[in-house]
Amino acid sequence: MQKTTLVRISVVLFALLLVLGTSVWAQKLADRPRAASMRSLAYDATQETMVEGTVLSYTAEAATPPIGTHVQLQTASGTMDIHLGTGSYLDANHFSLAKGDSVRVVGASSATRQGTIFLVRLIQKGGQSLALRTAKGAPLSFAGARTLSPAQRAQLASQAGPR
Amino acid sequence: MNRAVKRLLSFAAALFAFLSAGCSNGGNTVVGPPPPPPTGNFSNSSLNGQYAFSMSGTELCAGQGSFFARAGSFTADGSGHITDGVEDVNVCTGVFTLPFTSSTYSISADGRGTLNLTNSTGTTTYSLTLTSPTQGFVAQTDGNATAGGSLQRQNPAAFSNPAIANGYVFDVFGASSAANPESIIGRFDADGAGSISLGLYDSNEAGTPSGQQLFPAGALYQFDHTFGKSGRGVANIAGHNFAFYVVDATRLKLVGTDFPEVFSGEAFAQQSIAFTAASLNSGLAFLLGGSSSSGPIATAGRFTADGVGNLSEIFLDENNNGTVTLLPSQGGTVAGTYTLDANGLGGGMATWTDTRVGTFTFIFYLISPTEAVFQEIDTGITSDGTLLAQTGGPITPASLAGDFAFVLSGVTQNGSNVDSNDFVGQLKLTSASGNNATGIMDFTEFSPAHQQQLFDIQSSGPLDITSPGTGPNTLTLTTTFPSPQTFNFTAYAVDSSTVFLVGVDNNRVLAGSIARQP
Repeated sequence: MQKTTLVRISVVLFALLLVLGTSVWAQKLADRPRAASMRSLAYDATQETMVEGTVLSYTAEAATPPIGTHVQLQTASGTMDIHLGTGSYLDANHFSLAKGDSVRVVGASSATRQGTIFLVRLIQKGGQSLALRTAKGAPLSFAGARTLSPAQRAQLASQAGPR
Repeated sequence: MNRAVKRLLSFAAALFAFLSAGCSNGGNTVVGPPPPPPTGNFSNSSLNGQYAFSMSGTELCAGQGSFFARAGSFTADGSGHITDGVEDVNVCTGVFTLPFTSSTYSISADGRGTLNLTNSTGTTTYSLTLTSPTQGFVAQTDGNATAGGSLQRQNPAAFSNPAIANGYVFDVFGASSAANPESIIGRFDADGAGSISLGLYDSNEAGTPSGQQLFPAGALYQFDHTFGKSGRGVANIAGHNFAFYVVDATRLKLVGTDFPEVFSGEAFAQQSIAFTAASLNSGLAFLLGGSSSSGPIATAGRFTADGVGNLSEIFLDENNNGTVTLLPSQGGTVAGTYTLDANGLGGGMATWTDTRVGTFTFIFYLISPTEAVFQEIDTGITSDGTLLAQTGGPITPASLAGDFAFVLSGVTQNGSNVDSNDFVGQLKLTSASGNNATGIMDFTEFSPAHQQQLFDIQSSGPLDITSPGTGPNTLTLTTTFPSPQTFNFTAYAVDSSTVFLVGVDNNRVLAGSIARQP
């Protein structure tokens, strides 16, 4: 048998062993739920809606949970309590709101003991739009700044070290 | 010993207080009224040898708060000098490995102290409280960022591949490349030569669980040649790259080195047994921290496992960005079950349902029958932490009396700001009724618009123990300086030396623990 043939057979046998090995281990993987219980204040991306309305009030100091910025929004179907996350995230992105502003928001409603709250993923005012949550509904105030462009990172790194 | 996560208190004595509004490094510095002279047996000589540390927190990045992580090692000479060391930091501008140059520290009699670590980018300053000469809690208090974590004395005899062998359980938390909060827990076998096998993990990214997965190809660990004397190495675990720092053969500190993702966590040697449902047969307390769809979340509680899959005496306090949920709920009842994976490798699942609130589901990997890493997987919640067997009960005020180090992390609604906070300090408990807890602490209030470091802030209040002490107890601490604040906690005792704390106020989310000092 030629050497190249031997090598090919060896490669095929090795690949087969790998596949079998993986298969055996796959059978040993525990059965886990891929979607667990829907809890209060969870963002359900399958229930996303777009809402338009007028800002009745804006506060960065929540009187009731959740902590963060709340807007009372007058919509065609009534008044909504919408949650925008931390006010500093809006400030850092030069996004401001005031009574009387017309806004369009994309998000999902969530029932809480205090009532229903609308968790906003995207907000648009005039020609300005801002993402507040990831596609999975996580607040971008947690780590959204890590998705800066390389140029932005380089500029920041030149201003301050990694302390 | 404490492996808890990773968010208090004073006399007025305003006459003697001073509030310096200078800039130490960043933001304002506030110092509380002069405290009583510290008592205890700690001194600079208590910090002597090589120590590994890890912490995570919030940095300021392009005007925004952003999660970051660091881990490293330093050598203390017992006389106030840091003579050597290195750290890995994963910040929003990248991932860096930075050796320390000459640095300093000081430790007072109560175990509290200051650590200044200098590298080529400058000096970072930390407040710390030792629980013993071999370990302690640490918080960054220099105004450049806020972070909290722990440090442990290293055993250099374990700085080699052969020392890292057999099973390990790990838990890392951070942010994915899509900026989602992500928790990964699991286990693997190290062969003592740099190879990893039998790697299993469960990831939870923004409240979406992965299901149990095999490690992808490429898992390994290797000490590095440049900083190996610091116990540093690199590893690929569950498909992610890490720098690790060895505490000893039973414990590794991990910081993610991929970018833009970031992770911080630890790995622990796993007891070499075939785990079954019978492995869990005791009361267990847990502490979790993380992020939900609405913001930070902190959870603590306890349950009893009967060895055959049933859970009873389930209590839980959850603070989901200011919304506090207690189990059992008013008028509700809670029942639960647990399973261990059939492969015997220590993975498993616990779930319970409150008749009024709903179902809670968790994944765990057992380090031993008395210790596990614990991850909540309910929709919208990314949260993980520690599960520890409750031992040595009943817990009473008398059994808890003594001195403790504490660490807390979280956020506070502070006017129009939402500050990130890391607290470190000492808590003294007595067996008296009433005001039996007094504390002193350093902490940071950190948001893009507000950076302030507060030192020597005193507090006092009652720790109320409800017999037998293993369920929810309450700790209330009040500060009067620089402004009156009351912090309400539910306290779950692991034993008479370790207590988990979760804040139950609507305007803040805090989680942490206290650990007994000698």
